[in-house]
Amino acid sequence: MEILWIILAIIALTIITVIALYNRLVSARNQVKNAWASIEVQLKRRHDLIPNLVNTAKGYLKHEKNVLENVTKARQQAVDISGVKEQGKAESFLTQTLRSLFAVVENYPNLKANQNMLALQEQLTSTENKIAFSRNNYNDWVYKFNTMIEKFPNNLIANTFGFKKEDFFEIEDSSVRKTPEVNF
Amino acid sequence: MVLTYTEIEQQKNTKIFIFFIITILFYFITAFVIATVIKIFFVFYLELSESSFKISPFLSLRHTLIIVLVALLAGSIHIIYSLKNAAVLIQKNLRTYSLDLDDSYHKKFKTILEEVNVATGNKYNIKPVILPSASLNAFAISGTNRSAILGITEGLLAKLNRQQLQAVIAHEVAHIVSGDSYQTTVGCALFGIYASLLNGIRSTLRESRNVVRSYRRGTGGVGAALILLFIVYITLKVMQFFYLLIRLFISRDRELRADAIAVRLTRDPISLAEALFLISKGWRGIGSIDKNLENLFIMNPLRNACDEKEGFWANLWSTHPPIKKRLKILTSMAHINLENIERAVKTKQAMRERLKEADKDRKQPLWLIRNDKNQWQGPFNIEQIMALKWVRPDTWIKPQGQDRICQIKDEVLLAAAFNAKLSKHNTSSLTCPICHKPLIIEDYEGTKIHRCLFCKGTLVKTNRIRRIIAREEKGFSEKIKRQAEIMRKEALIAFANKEKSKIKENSLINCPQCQSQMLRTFYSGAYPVEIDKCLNCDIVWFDKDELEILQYLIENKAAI
Repeated sequence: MEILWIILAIIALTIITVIALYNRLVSARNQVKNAWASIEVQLKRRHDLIPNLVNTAKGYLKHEKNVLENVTKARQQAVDISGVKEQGKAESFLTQTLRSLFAVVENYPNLKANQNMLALQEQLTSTENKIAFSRNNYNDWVYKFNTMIEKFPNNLIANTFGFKKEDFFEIEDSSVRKTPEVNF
Repeated sequence: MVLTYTEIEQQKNTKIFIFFIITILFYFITAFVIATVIKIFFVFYLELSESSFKISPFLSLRHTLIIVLVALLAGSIHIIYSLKNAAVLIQKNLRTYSLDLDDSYHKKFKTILEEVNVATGNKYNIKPVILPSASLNAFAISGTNRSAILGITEGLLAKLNRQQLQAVIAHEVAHIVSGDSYQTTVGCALFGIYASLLNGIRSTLRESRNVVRSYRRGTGGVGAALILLFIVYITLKVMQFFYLLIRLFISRDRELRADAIAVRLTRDPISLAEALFLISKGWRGIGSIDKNLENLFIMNPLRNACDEKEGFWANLWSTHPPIKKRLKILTSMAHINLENIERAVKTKQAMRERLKEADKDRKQPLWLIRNDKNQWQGPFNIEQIMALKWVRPDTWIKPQGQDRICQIKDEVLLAAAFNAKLSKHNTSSLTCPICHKPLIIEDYEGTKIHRCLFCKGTLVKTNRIRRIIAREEKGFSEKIKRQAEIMRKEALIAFANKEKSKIKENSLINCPQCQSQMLRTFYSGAYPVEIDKCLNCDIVWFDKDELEILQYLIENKAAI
């Protein structure tokens, strides 16, 4: 009789532990999702700024059409794509094209002094900083979540209920490795 | 930020409970003491009249119970009031200003705060404020409903570069999101701000001694008021003691934790180390900041000896960890040592280029200009012509020294300047008090000032003078330096001869804003630069070069 009670107690304890662990994993995963959503808000803001930037620059950069086209193309790519890793790559490419645009703008003092252009450039820089900060936040949560589901006994639960590792959001900073391409 | 909201709430609640107990204790002890004193007074009074020992001078159990109830009630009211109004009360006590968005430094502060706040998931509604002091410090206070206030002094805003400012803001945001700012805020609101009233009362009491002497034979009103003041003083003194008790529960390690979280937010330990190094070397500002609110700040405004020590007692009484320890942790995160930080800060300071002063007396092409009444005016240079309100593209002008007359639109230089003027709209509605021509709004050291292009005088709002002095963006020409030295020497000689520096009272001017006469005075006793002040509009007029001379004197600490 006593053994039966003990077995029952062990089963009850296991179920409670599983439920608790499962709930922790779910809330961690939701935190990751939440952090990703806040990145997306900033990315959307960035994508919305670029058409204005291109329109402002268009009037001045009549001989630099392909630079502007590259930016527009890269933006469209970044808007259309989904998935963390792919988004990171698209954003890196967009950053690269923007950098070459700004390098070209340097040669046009009138455009550089344009109030609209200055304001847009400032907003873009601020948005990029915000992206960097929300990326840190997201990567922190991903790191926490990934370690969580790899640890014992969480990994058993993660495998059974299909929790998968999340991808880090990485934007390559091409400026460190490569000087921007400038077409004249 | 990897710290969930429930975890923070739990931490908060235990501390707030401790504060509650201390508050109740305060009310109980105060009420008990007062009741005992009153009873003893009456017992002795009755004793003298009836000469019997019927009543014991101590309180009975029933009376004690009543006192406990009163203390509970008063304590609860006090703590609920403080919890609700903590942020507002402290803000009032520190006399903070809200941001001036025309000011480029304030705007930078706002953008950086918005950016850093993104890293916390925008969970908190953080309002940036300015502490109008030239010292280097920053603070955070938290209110209910996830609202918070983050303040930075004008001095810090001027002295730090963008990365360093970002690090400091991240540190303060870390206090807010980790919840410990709420504890310190409540602690300060419960007792700190009342204890800070002590300073005021102490000076009143000191002054009142003389008053008492002269009124001794007069009415008893003053005496009664003084006794009341004395009782308040004692109560506040007890309050200060309890505030010390509360401070025991505010750990000094929360600064280290906030540093760590700040590094996690910005991924930049070096900038934070540089900022802390600069703050520790600079003036942290006692005087404008009350010493009872010290634990709100990133670094203790008092150079408290206790803060630099370690060990059990130091840990108990101090509010901030030793600066050396903080820097050591940060530099080890970046794998560098303290000397590197010191060197980096010094080179950055040396590298910082001053803006070259435009040579105001440079030879420029001049024109005569014809006004509405067909009179020729001038000769004026380009800037001066652009400052005139009635100038139109078809106004007739005559280049000085030449025999031709043409319209502004035909003169290339002027036409370009006119187009630029149309796109900027920088002519102010105010006119120069000396030459009565419109003033121009100009960016100067990141803030807006009004300048007259004819007499080169400047009109500055009083609260912006301190900012202009703190920022040190501008370089000075040799002429300004010479003028400043002469002014200083003259003042020193006058001081040595015990003459009072005289103010020339002739040709007083009227305020451009309210048209009342301006007060002619010196900027301060230590810096005898003559200024015209309008007390109604809080505005100051500097004659040509005087603002620069004042800046130069204060920067070089050339007081008399």
